[in-house]
Amino acid sequence: MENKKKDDKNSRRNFLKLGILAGAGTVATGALIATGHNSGESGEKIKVLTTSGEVMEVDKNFLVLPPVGIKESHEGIPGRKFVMVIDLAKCKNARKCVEECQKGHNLPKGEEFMKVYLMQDSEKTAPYWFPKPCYHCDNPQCVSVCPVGATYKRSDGIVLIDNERCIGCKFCMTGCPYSTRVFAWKPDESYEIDQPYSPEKSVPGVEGTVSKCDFCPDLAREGKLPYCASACPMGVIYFGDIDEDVVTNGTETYKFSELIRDRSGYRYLENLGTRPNVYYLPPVDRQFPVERGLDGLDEEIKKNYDNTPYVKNLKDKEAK
Amino acid sequence: MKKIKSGFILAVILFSGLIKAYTQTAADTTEPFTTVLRFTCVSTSDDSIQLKSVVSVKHEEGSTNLFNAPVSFYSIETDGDVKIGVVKTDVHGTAVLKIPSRNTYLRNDQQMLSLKAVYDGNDKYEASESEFGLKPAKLKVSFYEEDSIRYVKVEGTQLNADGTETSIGAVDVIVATPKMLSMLKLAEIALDSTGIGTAEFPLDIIGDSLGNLTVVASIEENDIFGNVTGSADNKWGLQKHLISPDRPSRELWTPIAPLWMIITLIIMLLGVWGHYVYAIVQLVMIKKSSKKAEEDIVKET
Amino acid sequence: MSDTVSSDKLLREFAPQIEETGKLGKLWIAFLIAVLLLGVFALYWQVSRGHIVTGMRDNVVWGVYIVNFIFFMGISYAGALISGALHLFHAGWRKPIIRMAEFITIISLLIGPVFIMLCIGRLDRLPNLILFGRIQSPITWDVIAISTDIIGCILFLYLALLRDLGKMRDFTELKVPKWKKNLYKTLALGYTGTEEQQIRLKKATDIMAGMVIAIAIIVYSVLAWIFSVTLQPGWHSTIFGPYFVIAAVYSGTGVLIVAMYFFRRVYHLEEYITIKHFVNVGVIMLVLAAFFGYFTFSEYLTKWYGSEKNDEQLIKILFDDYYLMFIFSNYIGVLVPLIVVGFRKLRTINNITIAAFIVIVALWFNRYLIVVPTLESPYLPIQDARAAWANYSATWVEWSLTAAGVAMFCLLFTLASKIIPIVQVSDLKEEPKETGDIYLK
Repeated sequence: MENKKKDDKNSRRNFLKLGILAGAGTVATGALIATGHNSGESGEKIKVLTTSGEVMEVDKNFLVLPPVGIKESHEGIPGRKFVMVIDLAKCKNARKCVEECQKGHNLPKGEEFMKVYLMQDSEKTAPYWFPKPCYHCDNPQCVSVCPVGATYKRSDGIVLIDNERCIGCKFCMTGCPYSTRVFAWKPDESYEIDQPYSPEKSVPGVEGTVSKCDFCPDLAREGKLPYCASACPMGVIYFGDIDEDVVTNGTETYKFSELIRDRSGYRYLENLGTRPNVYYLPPVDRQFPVERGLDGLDEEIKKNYDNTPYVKNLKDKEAK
Repeated sequence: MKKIKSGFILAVILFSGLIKAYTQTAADTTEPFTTVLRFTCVSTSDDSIQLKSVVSVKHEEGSTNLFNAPVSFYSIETDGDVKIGVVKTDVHGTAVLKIPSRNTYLRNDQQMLSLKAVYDGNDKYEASESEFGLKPAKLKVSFYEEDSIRYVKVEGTQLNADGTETSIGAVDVIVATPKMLSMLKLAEIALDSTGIGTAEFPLDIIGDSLGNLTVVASIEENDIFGNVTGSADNKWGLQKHLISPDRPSRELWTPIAPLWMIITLIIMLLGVWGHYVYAIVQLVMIKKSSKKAEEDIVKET
Repeated sequence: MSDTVSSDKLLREFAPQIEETGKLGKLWIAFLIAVLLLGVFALYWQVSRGHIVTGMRDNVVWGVYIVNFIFFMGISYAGALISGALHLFHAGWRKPIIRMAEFITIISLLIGPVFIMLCIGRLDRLPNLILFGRIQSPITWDVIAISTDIIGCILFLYLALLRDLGKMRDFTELKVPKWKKNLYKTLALGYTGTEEQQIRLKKATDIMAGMVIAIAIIVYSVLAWIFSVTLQPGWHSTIFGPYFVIAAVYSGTGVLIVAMYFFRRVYHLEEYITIKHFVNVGVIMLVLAAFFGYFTFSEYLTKWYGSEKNDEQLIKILFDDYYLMFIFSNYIGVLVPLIVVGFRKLRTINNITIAAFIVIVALWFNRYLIVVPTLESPYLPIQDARAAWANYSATWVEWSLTAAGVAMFCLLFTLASKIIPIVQVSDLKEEPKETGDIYLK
């Protein structure tokens, strides 16, 4: 508690500086507190265009406040245990989750933290769309095999990667049975953006290291949903605190236990014993036929599904 | 509080990104940008009305909130608009002003206040405005227990122009509790003609680590009352189980290895290196014996 | 002293290979250096352009580099197990070939880890392995085990060399530069062969012979566990430890036979390395072939019968996409040595060497079949239109570095034989004085 007070003081001071710069400091929302970082002035000024059309100089640290530091990002958000629920009945492969995630994490083209698979469990069963983030397992194989502790599990259940420690041995990529992790194979301009690095943001990426879906703890600290959940137009992705027993997709809020009970929620590949923190609601009473997911896709992305039995069947039928 | 705290970093980053985009677009266009002003009012339980407006700018890539824009709030009255105050928007594009519920602004024949928020604009941005009408009201939340069943009770009152308070009448109220990211709905209550409604309080809601819950009753977008909220705390929540205390400390995935893994490693290393040391000692002894032999030879000669 | 006489005679015979390098030898060394330079260029290419220049992608994250790593670590067994075991069993015939086996061990132990480093995205962060090492990770075990193994093997080789170094120091006829003489003198530790020194040396050698066997088994099991601790189909197998150990010794004997063949030809060692040695090592190879075949069979048989979806998928890939490689590595590579060494009539030096060569290639393929197809058949289907993401094929960078690795191996072997006789010169003809066996007391 005491720490928090100190932090509040610091950030209030920072806010005041910002207030003076901006010339606002009125009734306003009263408290733009919370960053908890005494960033101080960097001395570097950035020119910005204000609403009044004036050019204003603002200290860089006020515009891009440093995110949670590396040490702090090892701890986890106190009193939380994050969980995600994905409603397969509502997914129509709109890919907004993928796109927003890529934008939010500044990922190079073709690199996806969230992937959408076209699944078909067996020949006669129905195909369905299957969004797959990182499962943030409670028994994370990837963390067990990391030789340098660059990937770690926090008290809030989130598994993160410290790209400033990762040596790029890719052992975690073979350790993960869900093909969740991606490797930065080549230098990319997106890795060069001028922003302080934080494992909680996974930005900027680092060449030669591994990265993956991070459950966006930086957004959770701000009381926001992860990029994928807030982007989904169908409200497929629910996110919340399992200890609080509440998940939300931004418009609807459910009790986690009721949702899982009423909709027969399950975890993917439960038999592997990795104890994921992502649950799926089976694709029953679907809102969209599965072929809708192939409509309006970029040719390039559509090709990804060419080898699935379902698309092959479709093509065979067309040929006839 | 958490919500207010939220979004500072991100908004600032987004904002700075937007400005970059603007410096480009603003330079080659003389047409001012269209702005949108959203304006709502909420009667809160502390006898005040919160006037909140969000100003955003429409552009090719969507819309972004406008920072540092002065928003003027007015009361629309028969003899013209009466200025209430001016607030500049923060980094979220939000300007908020609080006025007391009991005020002297003129009401219309339905006893409603007519309020207006205006952004005047400038040569870069078009002006925009929005109106909101409401009759000040209040919701009171209380709890009681009867036959060991727990209930939540909501009482709604409205504030008349003459300063008297009367019951709110038949209105739907949503009772919810704030959670990490959103409000969890507990019940929907239809207030009766006396402005009172009750509902059974669920037993399985998780509160904080002591079981404290905040319960918020709200009327949303009502034709007469606009938005009204009222809240109260109780201790009827289940205690939140914190995972941190029983978090395993020595697992395959924790920073510190399981004890027996360390012991096994030490046994193996000691075993192997012990043998190495033995062999090295033998070599040292060979070297020593040769020196001794040399010395003997020197002595003999 | 007959001992001195005979080893002097031997030294006289081996002196030319240490004293000078012929034209052909120089050409050979130049060729090896050229291949090495190609590898250096490929390395520069990879470091400057990122790992995108390799065939590795997000699904197949490990490729030829890891295959080479396992392969070189495997042949390092030649020395460890073979020389250690032969020493402990007092196999008298081992002496002309034991030095070669020990060289193979140390040289491949030095080259192997280089390949795992090529696979690492951030070479500049290698110190993190020690700074932030987590002992739950099999890679940390590997770092500890390999460094322990290298030290142990160097110590063992040194013990075996000590007598020769003493001989070479005392052998005045040797026409070598002064630095080489000084080197011999320093390294010989003043060993003159007194009874006390002999006993001490024997004790130390016996201890280390046991140790190199033990540590080699650990190292190779640790290597196997890197794969089998993961949940990947085809890797998550309990027999991987022993399977890798057997495969390693098997490939080690193959390399030893091929090395024997070449050194015999190049240095004219026909008098010392005879058909007897080829047959004896060949028989060891035969036994290992049987074990290897047995392990391979039981590994795939259970997967084949068990109908688990991912195992099925893996078996399908192995038989469809990797058919020839699978047959070569798991049938030809097992049957050829069994037949060649098994039938007395077929046991010629040339035949055994060809069989050994086949074993080496088959075992390299075997590792490829363990690493790559598994990564091509993950639990979640690969749905990626980019061909490189779905199927692995090594690029010129990876092949160049592989060639450079082999060249490095040959080069170091050649250079080592220029400093120290490739055949143990001391007591080649005589058994050492019986001083009692440390393990059998």
